[in-house]
Amino acid sequence: MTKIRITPKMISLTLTLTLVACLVIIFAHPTEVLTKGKELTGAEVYAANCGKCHSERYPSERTDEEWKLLVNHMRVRAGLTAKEAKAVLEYLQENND
Amino acid sequence: MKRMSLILLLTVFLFLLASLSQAEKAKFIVTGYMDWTYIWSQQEDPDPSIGTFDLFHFNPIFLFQIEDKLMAEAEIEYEHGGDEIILEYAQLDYFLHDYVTVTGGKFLIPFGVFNTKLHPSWISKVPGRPLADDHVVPVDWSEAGVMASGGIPISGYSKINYAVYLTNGLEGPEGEDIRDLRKEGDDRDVVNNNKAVGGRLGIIPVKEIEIGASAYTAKYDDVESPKLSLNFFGVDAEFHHKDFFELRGEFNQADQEVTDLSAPDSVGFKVKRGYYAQAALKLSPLEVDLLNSVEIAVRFSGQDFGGEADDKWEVSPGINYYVTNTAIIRLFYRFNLEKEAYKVDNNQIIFQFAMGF
Repeated sequence: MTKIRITPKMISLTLTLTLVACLVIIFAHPTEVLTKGKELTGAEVYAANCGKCHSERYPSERTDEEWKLLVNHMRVRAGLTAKEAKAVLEYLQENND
Repeated sequence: MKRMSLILLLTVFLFLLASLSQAEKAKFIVTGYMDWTYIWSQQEDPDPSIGTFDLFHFNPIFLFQIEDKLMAEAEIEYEHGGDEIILEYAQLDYFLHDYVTVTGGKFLIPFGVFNTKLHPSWISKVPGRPLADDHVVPVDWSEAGVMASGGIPISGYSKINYAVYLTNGLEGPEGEDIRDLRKEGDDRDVVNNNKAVGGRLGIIPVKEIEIGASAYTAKYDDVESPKLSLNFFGVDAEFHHKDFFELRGEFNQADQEVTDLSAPDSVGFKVKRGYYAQAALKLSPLEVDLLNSVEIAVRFSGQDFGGEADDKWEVSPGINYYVTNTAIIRLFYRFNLEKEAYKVDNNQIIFQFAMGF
């Protein structure tokens, strides 16, 4: 098998190119600006907290009662406030038909 | 063997109980994750390369809502087809206040973010642990104790999350590998009665960014009057852009006190540092059907033990394909790199199917 030599220069170049590619993507797809004082919806709280670690869990995966247990489990794991946990739970329960 | 049989029997019983409960009103559910892996590992000549299948993880998680504010949760880890079975955590959580949860039992130590949030195989974007969270921070790391944790809102998306805890601490012979200081069987203090104190503070100034700092201090030597300190410090940061790009990293340092053999009456510190940086980019913004479920990821990590043979790095580029939202097929190449004097041929190809259920 051909041996590929990984050098610090190669790693630095790769990281730099990755960062440049990321910046291009970010400027091509700007994020939304949150209006000051706006209350977050359940979907927004869900995306901002849950989406940071794992892919979206579809509301239809679980029943209302099951989501209650799972959201409490996630409240501990992700350090959610009670209000955030309630917003996420309501979003999942309202959309799990 | 007897212990393994009891754990297997308990698991089967809990599955049955969960099935019955789920047929009615769910106060008790089973969730969790599993992964199977094929790893091809290079070996130094003349040894042939090795390829092996592995049921790496089967981790059922049991959640029981005792009442609205009180919950029990536990995770059993079966690794390598059941060769290693441990109780990863089992804890009671009491939601004392909107911003405070009190936890008691055996829980994952909230040092950095990889140990508590990112180590499950269906969540981690790159297979295997980064070197910062292997022999520096000993993931999976859980201890018996008490903890207060939660989130405190600031405004809009901005908030603080925190955790502070008091636990029995890591324990073992002087200078032992930090991974081997974990109490994987009996979690009690028997010889070393010193307790560990630690915590993590995370700040989310804007939706896209979180920065955290962690600390832990204890005395670890397994004697009745322990004297040798083991202190951890760490920082973590992550950046997310919409739902398709993330960049994250951690820097961890463990200062492990040992007797200075050149001057036996004095002590010194073994300083062990670890770090990683990881980027992941989903190709869904390209709006090409074939690429909608594809994600490119790369991780660079290293450990620095001060110029010894243990100093090493890894670079793992690869692809994740999301079969469903929680089922991922991965193909990665892991470059394992050492200092020139200790260089060996040990790169790996990793194929993994991981699923959260």
